Amino acid sequence: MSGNPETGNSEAGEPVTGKVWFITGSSRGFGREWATAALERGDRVAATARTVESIADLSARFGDAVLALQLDVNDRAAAFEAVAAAHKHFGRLDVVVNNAGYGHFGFIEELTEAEAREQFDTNVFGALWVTQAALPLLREQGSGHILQVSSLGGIVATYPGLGMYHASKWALEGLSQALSVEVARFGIAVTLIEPGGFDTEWSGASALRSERLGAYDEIRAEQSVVRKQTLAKGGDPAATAAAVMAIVDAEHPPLRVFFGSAPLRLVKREYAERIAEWEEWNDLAVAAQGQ
Amino acid sequence: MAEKVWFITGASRGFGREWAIAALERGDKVAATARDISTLDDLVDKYGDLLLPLKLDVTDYDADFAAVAEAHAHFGRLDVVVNNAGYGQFGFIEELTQEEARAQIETNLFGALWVTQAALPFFREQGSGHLLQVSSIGGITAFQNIGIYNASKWALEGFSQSLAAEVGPFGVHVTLIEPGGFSTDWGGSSALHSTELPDYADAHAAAAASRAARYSSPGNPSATSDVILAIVDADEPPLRIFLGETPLATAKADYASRIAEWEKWQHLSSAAQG
Repeated sequence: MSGNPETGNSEAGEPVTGKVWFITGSSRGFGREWATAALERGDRVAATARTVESIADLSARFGDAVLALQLDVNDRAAAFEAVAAAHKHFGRLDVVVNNAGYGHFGFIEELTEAEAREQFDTNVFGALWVTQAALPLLREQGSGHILQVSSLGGIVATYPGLGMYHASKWALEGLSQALSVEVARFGIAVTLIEPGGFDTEWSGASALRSERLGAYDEIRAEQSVVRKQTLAKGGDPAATAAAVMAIVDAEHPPLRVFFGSAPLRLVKREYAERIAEWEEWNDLAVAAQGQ
Repeated sequence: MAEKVWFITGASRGFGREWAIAALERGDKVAATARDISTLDDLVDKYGDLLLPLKLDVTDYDADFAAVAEAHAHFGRLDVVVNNAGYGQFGFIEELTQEEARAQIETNLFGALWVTQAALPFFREQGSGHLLQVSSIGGITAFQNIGIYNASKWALEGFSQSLAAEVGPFGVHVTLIEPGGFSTDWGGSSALHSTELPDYADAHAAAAASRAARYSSPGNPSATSDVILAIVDADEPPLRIFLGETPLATAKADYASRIAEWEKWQHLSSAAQG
């Protein structure tokens, strides 16, 4: 889907009417793909990364259409400052993408206190702080779109070894579903983007891993086989850019959308299994109601 | 059936107290924790040695490990661990302070996680054990004005489902208990409320009306006890179970609406695969 045909060329210094984006975690993965796609169609992007050098090439290529911001989303005050700086610089904010995040691999018993907290800090609180910072600005405009990068793992959690990552993405899902009801009255849309497996560095260089307990080695080995089978069918991150543009250009964007062809089938099966179990035990559930 | 040894957090009131009493009444042994241990005095008087009262704030990682170890040392085993301590933080997402958001997650999510981690080595060594995580219908669906509570319970759901796959091979069970509205103190004196933003005044009125409709006929907490006993006595307990008449219909409606939306956008999902 193309952007606004009246979008100007910021490099030529002409007035621009395209969208203004704020994208966290723009150094690599989906954040980088989407920042590049938005810039290529003439939108303007405040791109954040923990090290601003990692997005210097975007500034070199797209000039004034990019505002490169150093940001660790764990820092609430810094998140508020970055969002305010972006709004002041471009004069408005249309699309806020909470993309910064990573996967922490480890069985529940293996997680240290620090590992568990850090996973939640980045994947949930980071997104919450940026969201809170953007809301007053979006409410004042009477428009805006918050994209939360969730995961198929934010909907299902049937596999071992990723429990804290699941916790973080499920939390983002619950928070964002509530948020969507809260801010619809102000003209603000919320969309949870739920990718299946993609060939980003998510499970490679970006991932963190707990120290292993021998007791779980057997289950870990079985799980490793399952993971390799899943990753063999990884999607192409570059193909997601057009989908993101279609979502931000939609008049009525969805609350949830999968990226990848496989998640829908998996989730329908998982939901059917949950409902079957709840129904099997529903006599007890109703008995618990009492008088 | 042989008597069981329980460890129950948040036993001062609500479900935790109901279930502690139900277990003690049938002769089970209970390590009951509360932030204010004097709230357990009447139970100590009534049940004597069957009860081990423990002072515990579940947000303290080291204290959780110490309390679980003490309960295990005292009774010689642990059969049922109930992560019940928790509360509801009300407030629109924009209204939450950093402290309010973090405190909700500390108690409802990390408190349960630390107690779970403390119990797992004992369960694995026994080759048996049952974790009951007190979730909510709000851990399955979400409502305005309670988003950070939803986040805490959804997170509990996600890690607990993953955990069930991790510890099933050791003979350890995990059950998520998902109550609908009950006449506990949950929405009353137990709840915390953010300072309201004036711009959300209309929204607060709408949220209150919606909540009143959802809780028009709350359940009776004491009616849940027999159900909890049935779950811990089951050979194959469920991963998830609702408490109350209304959650099943609520969950089915939300899931159906999600699936309809995903299907509507599936052409885009497939195109994004590349």
